[in-house]
Order: sequence, then C-alpha cells, then structure tokens
Amino acid sequence: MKKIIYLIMAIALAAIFSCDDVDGPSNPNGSIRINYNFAAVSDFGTLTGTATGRVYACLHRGLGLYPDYYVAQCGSTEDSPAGTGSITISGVYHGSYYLIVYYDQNHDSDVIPSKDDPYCIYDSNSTAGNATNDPYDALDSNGSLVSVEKGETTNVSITHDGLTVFNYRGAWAL
Amino acid sequence: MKKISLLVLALLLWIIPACDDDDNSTSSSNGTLVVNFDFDGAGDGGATPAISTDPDATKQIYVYLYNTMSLFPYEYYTYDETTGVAVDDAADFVGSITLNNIPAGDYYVLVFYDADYSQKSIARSGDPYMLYHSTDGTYHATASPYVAIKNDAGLVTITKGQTTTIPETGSMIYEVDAAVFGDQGAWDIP
Repeated sequence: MKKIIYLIMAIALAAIFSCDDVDGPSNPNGSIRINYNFAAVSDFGTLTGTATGRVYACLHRGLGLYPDYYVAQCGSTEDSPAGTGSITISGVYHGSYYLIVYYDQNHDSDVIPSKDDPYCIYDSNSTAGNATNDPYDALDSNGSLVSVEKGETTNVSITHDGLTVFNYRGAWAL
Repeated sequence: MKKISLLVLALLLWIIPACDDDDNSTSSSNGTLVVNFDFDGAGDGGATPAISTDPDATKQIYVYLYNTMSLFPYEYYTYDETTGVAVDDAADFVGSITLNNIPAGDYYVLVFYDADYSQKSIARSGDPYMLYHSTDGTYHATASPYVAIKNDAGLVTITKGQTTTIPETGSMIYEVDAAVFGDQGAWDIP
C-alpha cells in the first residue's frame, strides 16, 4: 500500500513539473523606452505650486474621460528633467497599451495629471510627432497601441506640440 | 463529550437567527427614479430634434444610469429603461420614465432619443441626448460628461425605499446646443 502511495506521489510531481513552459522565457514581462520631446513648451521648467516638475509616461489598458483612468503602469523622470529625454518602464506585462506622456507642471491636490499640464497621446499614424491630443482619434487609429513583448524592449518616440494641455482635473483638450 | 457538542450546536442555532435584521423595515435597499424629459424645444428655448425616419431605429426615449462615465455612452451603464413607445409625434418628446428597483447610491443620468440605428449599440452616432445637470436651473441638462462630473453636478442620489424625481420641478430640457452623439457614439463635447 505504501509503495502505491509513493508511486502516485511521483506521478503527480512529474505531472506538475511537466506543466512548465519550456519553449520561452518564464518571465512574461518586457520593457518600453519612451523618448519624449517637450522642447516646444515655451515655459518648460516653470512650475506652479508644488507640482512635481517631472515628465510621466503611463501605459493604459483603455482610454477614459481622464488620464488617470485605466492606468496599467507609469514611469517618470527625476525632478527637473530636460525638455527632451527618455523614460524606461520595466516589468511591463506583455501586451498592447495606449501611451500617455505628460509634464506635471501644475499642482492639483487630487491628481497628478491636472489642469494646464502639457500632454500627448501616442499615435504612430500621426505625422505630428507620433502624437495626438484627442483620445477619440487615438481609439479610432490603428497606430496608437504600443506592443510590449516578453523579454524585449520596445522603443517609441513622441513629441509634444507645445500647445496641448489638460483641462479641469486632467480632462482631455477636446 | 456528546453533551458538550449538543450544547455548542444549540448555542450556534440560537446565535444565527439572532443575526437577522429584526427591525421591521423593508429588506430591500433599492429605490425608484423618475426622470422627466422634454425634447420639444417649443416654448422653452430648447432645441427639437427631427422625428426619426430611420426604419431600423427604435425611435424610443431611453434613460441610462452610470456609476462612472467613460468616453462612450454605451459603455458601463448599470441600469436602463425606455418609454417603450416610438416617438412619432412631437408631443411624444415630452414625458417621463420611471426606473424601479435601483440600488441605493449615486448615479449619472443620460436621456437620449434613439433616432439612428446602429447594429453595435442603441446609443450611437446621430442620437440626440442630454445628461442630467442639477445646478443648471434652466435646462437641468448638459451635453458634456465633464460638466456633469465637475463638482458632482450630474449625480442623482437614490435612497432606499424612496422615489427620487429629477428635476425636482419641470423637466430636463434638450439644450439649444442640440447635442447628438458623434462618431462611434462619442459625446458631443463642446
């Protein structure tokens, strides 16, 4: 009887280990590097209140009425960044995301992306710096999703037009 | 040992019924909402949509309730109701819709006229609509979800066992802006 139990345990252990994915990296995550350009923002570096002054890049599972909806993961620069630079977000679960990049120039006690902060939404179909300010355009475009692959780093570039800023509470400039 | 087990069992049986709500109030936590609407601009300064000629549209007036709003009206609504009658006369543009058995809580309220058919959703491009706006004393309505969200101006509170009527007096009046859903059913955000 004891031998039969050992045999069953051995078979169960073998079955468990055979379930491992053996044809690829076991880590399902990748990275994305966002090269941003806010050089057209004439007062870049001038902050109001206690704004962080950082550039943020956020990956979104969907687009809602506000930029803090459906956020999957964000990365940011350090304080007082240059108008152009890059942000790398690591440990991103592989998949497709919308990308929003904004400069936290103005303080809001409730949300970081707030009124008058310059922002842009990634859209590779846009000739204006891979960017749009309209979430409806982004949803309608087949170029607004960025793909993050397992074990790889995706590189994208986005340029702000120097004008587009969030409305009240971070609402899109529609 | 057996006696102790029986004693424990008896105690449990005594405690469980004691947990029941023993005030004689209704056990339902739901309420009722009555929405008065007016899509007929005659005499009230609002706009009047054309009566639909789309043979596939339902031509009915609908109310949708939302806990949160998204970029599109057909997403994430939690309750809906309709007049059940196709609008075939301007007089049908004025009326009310009652939503029963709504869980207590706060909701945004959309009223729209299904003038244009879409196989994807009822609330879609070309349909005239308005969102409830409590602090607009004239129209009690807005086209912008951002206006409805700002300072909770568009929220209606449903209370357990009570009937809430919006607006308290008059009707939600279809605005002069004559808002209709845009491409893909997007809000007509000014």
